[in-house]
Amino acid sequence: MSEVDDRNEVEDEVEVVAYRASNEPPAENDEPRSTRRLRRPPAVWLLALALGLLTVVLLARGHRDVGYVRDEGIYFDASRRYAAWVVAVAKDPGRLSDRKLRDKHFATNHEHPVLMKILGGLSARLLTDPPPKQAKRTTRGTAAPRGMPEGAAMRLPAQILAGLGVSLLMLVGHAWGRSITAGLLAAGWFILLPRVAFHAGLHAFDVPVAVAIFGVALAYRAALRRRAWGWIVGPLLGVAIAIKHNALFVGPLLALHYYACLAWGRWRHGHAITRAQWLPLPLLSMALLAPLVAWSLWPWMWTDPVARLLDYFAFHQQHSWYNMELLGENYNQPPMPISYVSIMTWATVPTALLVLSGLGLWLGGRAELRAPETPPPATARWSRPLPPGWSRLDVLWLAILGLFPLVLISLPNTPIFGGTKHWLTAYPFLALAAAVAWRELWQAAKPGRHGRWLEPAALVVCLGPAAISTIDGHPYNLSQYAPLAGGPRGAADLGLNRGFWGHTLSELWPTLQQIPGPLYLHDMHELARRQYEREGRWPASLDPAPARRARSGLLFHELHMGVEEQSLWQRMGTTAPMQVLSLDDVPLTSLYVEPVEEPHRGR
Amino acid sequence: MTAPSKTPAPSRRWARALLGGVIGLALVEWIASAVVYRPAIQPADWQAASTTLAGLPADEPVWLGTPWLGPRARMHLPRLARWDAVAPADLRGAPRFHVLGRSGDRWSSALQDDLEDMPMPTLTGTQMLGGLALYTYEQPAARVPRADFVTDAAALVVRTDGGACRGRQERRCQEGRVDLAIAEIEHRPRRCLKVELEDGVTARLRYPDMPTGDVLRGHVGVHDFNARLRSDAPLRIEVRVDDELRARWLYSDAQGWWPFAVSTEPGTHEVELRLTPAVRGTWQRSGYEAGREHAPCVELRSLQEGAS
Repeated sequence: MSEVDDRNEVEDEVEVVAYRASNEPPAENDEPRSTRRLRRPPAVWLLALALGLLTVVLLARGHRDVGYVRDEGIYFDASRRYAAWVVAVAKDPGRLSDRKLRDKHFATNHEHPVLMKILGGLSARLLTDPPPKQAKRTTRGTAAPRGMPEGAAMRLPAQILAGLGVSLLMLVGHAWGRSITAGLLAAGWFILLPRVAFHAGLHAFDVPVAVAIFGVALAYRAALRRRAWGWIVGPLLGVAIAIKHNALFVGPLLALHYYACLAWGRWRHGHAITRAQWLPLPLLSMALLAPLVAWSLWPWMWTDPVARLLDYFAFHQQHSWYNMELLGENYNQPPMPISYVSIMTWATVPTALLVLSGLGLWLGGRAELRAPETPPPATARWSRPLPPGWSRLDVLWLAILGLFPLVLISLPNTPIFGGTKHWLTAYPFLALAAAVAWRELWQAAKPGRHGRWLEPAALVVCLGPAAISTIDGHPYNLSQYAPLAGGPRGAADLGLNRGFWGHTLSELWPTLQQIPGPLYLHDMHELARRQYEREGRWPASLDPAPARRARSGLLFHELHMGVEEQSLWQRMGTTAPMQVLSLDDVPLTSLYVEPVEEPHRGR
Repeated sequence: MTAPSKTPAPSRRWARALLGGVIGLALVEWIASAVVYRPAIQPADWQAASTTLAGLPADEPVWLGTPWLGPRARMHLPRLARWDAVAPADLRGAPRFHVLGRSGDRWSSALQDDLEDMPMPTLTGTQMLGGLALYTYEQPAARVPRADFVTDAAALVVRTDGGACRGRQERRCQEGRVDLAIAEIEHRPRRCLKVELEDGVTARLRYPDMPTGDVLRGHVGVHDFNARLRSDAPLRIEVRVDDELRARWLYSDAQGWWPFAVSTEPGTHEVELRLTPAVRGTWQRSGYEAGREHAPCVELRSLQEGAS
């Protein structure tokens, strides 16, 4: 191997994570691989690990107060069924090919891949005592099982993935931003956002798929220079697809990035494109291995895969339009305002963090455009298609993956089905862009001896508003808004959505123990209620009922829910709720109860 | 890995300015956080509001200047739980009224809508109640109502093509029902007479001896945003006074809470409102469903607006 090749091997190793704004050549004094590896301080690894663990612990504990959202009710039910299949197959591997058994267990919620639900179900089997299926129903209600609540156990795998995401962001942010504060900024930018913190703790797919896509993108980037990652990136993408369909877009996006790199190298630097580069290992790996892995992780697809796959795509292409309030208007059919994503991103992410991300993209792009000429690149191979000398266009990588989810949901004909959670996949990349800005700005600013304290202090200043917002909003962070949007009150004034998942109950539990049933559940899913019941948390006297037969009723406030509230007024004979659960004055949930005495009713 | 970038960095001055800008922005967010992330209204404020509202004359309505406070206001303040506060037809008939809201919320877009073509009222007083404030207005143009189809629903004679409807508040007719109800129109509650009849059947709501001024004013709308989304069927409205047709309109639900007016002679007259919905049902995923109504809701009042 030539001297150049040796240097490139070193470069390969470190560039698994290290950011280069351009195709700058390896440094003259590049050191051997072992030495370079050691130069990442152990403190960074420890800090990343500690942050990841802290995230998991805080989510696991904090989300005990977060009510079960509508979707979780379905996922809990599905998770139990899927885990039961895994156990049945583990006991008798021959049943792996039993189609009836598979379909019986996986028919529930087959419109979503199963990985997180299987993990959640297995987690519950491992950590819940007694096992959930043995929980005994008493005459009215269910006795509380000992140990970890089943729902909390099912949420744990997603929380662990969120912790992993935080650790990864710390490591990559540190490598790209070349300082611990940059790593902390990247990690904090992501997990301290109220919406991210909220979704990260749920038994759902949105933060897990954001972390998985981030991992895939990093693996792809490394795969451009290292063969091993080329083999890994495909299966990793398969895992991401097995979490949620957002990952289906990643392969084409990364291919777009790759060919843009080739075009850029050819056009800007005059590099010759070799035949080996046309269809390289990372792209083939994603194209061939990812579907296989995704398919193997989804037993529902093992039978009649083409028809079921088409069914899966059709479901998401024809997804219902949910109601969503934006600036005082209720939208439930196309076209949705193109500004929806921009407004909601601004309203839910502190502006200083968004500005940092924007600066990161701008400074990264500027650096790329002004990058000096480079010596001829090393020979490109099928298994390492962009060796040193070829730019990996990191800023384009950040921009594509950080902006595509926002653009996609902004399209007027993209169905609305979940608010901000559907573009959380952009946030790890925007967080990393912020770390790039951090590095570029502090390096250029040369704060001198003041830098030692100025940089950490600035970090606290930049991350503080997100942290305060999340602490304030807990456990209702789906209804939290950024400080410059005015928080929950400002959002209510602006006419922004207040929540949509029927989970805001925390402070109502003591009252629910005392009110007469039956209870109208409104937007709480019956399966979520049954989960509370399984865990012994649901009051025995509160059977669910439609509004016309209920003696008490919940109302989760949304603009289009006025009809439901008016039904309760008429049924209960009062317009005055018994209790209102609020976040910073803004009503999230009202509890109506049939008055025993003369109410101060509407009359 | 820690080697500095060899690519051109922003100049020192630019970098410092940008960093200063970002940190300054974050500091503004800190200050904003201190303000927005805590309740602005304390329990004592609600108590003070309750005491203050209890001392107001009963015929002076109180409306909300901060509409999203509605559930809490209704919970704490009996006055705000009354139908005239919860679901007014408009701001007419209240020469003097009050607006309760967060401090500074002296008016709202909902009140502006309900003002319709009247001039802006005059703010005559402000009372601070901690985080809340009570604003008192005078509106000479509002005049005084004489009679009201909704308030006097029990006095109405309701008929359809199939004959008289039975009941006092909830009228059962051969082809459906006519109820005193709360309707959701443009995501706001309105108290009105909801008509749920078969396709093309006319509801005749007659007030035999209605005290009248110089104008009849009413509103019509279609209940429930889901129904409005799933049917565009029009509605015909007629106003008759002493069996003489005074006005006829064709209404579409896109017109929202639509106001209409007919001039009358002061005195006592037989006033009849006729509503004919073209199609009763809505088009759902499974096709046409007659049972999920596209139900119109109407209200009508007599007022004396000119010199009597």
